[in-house]
Amino acid sequence: MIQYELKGLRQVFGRRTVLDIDHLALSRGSSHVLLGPNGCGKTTLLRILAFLTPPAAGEVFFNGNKIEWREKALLPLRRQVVLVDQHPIMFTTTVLKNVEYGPKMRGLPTRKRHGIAMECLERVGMQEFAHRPAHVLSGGETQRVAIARALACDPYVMLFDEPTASVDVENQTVIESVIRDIRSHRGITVIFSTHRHLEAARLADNKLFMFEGKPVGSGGENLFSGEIIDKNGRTVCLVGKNLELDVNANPRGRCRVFINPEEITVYPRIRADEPSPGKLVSGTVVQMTADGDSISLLLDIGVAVRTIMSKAKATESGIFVGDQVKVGFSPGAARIEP
Amino acid sequence: MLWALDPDLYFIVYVSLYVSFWSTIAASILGVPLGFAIAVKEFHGKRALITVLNTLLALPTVVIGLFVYAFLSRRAFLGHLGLLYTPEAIIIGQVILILPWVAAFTLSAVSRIDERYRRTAMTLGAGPVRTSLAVAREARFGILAAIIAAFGRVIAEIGIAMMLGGNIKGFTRTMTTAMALEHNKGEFVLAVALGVVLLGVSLIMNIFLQLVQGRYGVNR
Repeated sequence: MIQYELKGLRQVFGRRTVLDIDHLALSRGSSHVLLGPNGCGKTTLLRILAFLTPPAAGEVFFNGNKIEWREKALLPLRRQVVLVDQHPIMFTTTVLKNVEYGPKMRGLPTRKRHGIAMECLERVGMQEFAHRPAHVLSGGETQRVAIARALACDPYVMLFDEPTASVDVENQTVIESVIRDIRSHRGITVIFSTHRHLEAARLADNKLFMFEGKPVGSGGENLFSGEIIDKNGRTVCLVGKNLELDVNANPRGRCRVFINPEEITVYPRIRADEPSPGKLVSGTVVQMTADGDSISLLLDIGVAVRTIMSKAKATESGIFVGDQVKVGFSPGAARIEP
Repeated sequence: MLWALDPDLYFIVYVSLYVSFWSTIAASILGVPLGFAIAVKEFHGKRALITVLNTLLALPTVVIGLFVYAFLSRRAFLGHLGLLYTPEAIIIGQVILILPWVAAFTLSAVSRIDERYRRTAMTLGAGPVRTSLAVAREARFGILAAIIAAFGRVIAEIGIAMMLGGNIKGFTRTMTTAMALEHNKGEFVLAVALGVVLLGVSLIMNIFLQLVQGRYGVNR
């Protein structure tokens, strides 16, 4: 079953188009993650999915029904969907009253909403804070109470805007476990945004990469803004300040370029002088993670580039996190995106 | 004089508190929603309206006195109501005086409230009215300060009370008009006593504000 379907969706702030989605369907009861750099439209999309801001153009379908962006029609929908902000704000009252707010808006009697609120606080491990002022909580505790406050609304869909972006490891673990629990035991559709690929892999059934307001499929993590220029008789795409990638493209100027992770080769620094195809650039290994039978490497070469190598090759190369390496790109590694 | 429980003095204080209280209540009923609406709604001419509102903060009391007199005097449009030189006339004039104060300071208080409060209330299932109430609740200290400032403004004003009340003994004589009269007569004792009461009322109002802010500021 489809929970959300978006058709020709556009959001415009001033003269800038911040969201441009031709078609997107998100299934019910699954966990979806929105990945992408800052300013790629994740928060804007979440606010539209939460029925908080109407799009400039396009159609949104919820459970197959087209959304009418009228206040009267939106209220019943908002009561099925809750958005937890990246930096949630607490009403200036106690933690308990904050969590009771959603049930109160739904007209539940005092005793019942008190019970629901305590139960939800227990789920996030914050029951001892129930009678404390909400505004004195730390960032991580606020995030946990905000999740309890959203849970108390008993929604069908929970939206999280970077839920672990500004919390410590302890709170991050609790939040991740709550999200996992929501997904598996309650059958709630979870849609969240994050920068953390590992977190996305741990929590999400489906990944959606976004770049400059558009969904870009599974290759989105190596997608960059660049500029096509002529240099020494070659056509290159300049990414960041120093990275030059050979491309076959006619128009010059700004572009989006995708670097295929499988077309990137990493050489340990000790072997950097050995002959190798193409021009090499220096970089640092900042992350290594197991990805099925392969190892995924995140490299800092002025921009963050991800590459994949086999476990055997990774073992043979002896590369570790923090190593200085040389990085080569096969011809055709860079592809100009429309 | 204060300790001798002089009935004349206490009646003057009563009239002052009576007209100031009701004018503040009326101005708050009109001004708080007005300021709130201007703060949260986006519409054409919003900036112009805020400029007008801010300009009205400097409205001289004698101008209001003259303006309302023109409507309430015997031969005027509303003359048949017989309101001129009554406490009600003073209240009308004072409402016009402090309405921009209440509205402008409410607008300022609500504008400073974090946008996330509105969004949070909405996503938690609040309708437009409950969302507005949630925002107003967060701005409550600012709104209360606006109302108390307005009360302080009317209890200390003299132009409207004199021109529309007529300073009639035992009927429309307020603390400020009585002080002016006693000063003209050279009766400084009553004038000073009234001055002490006037300052005392301001002090009590501010202590009240501090207590409310302190109480809820700690436990909120």
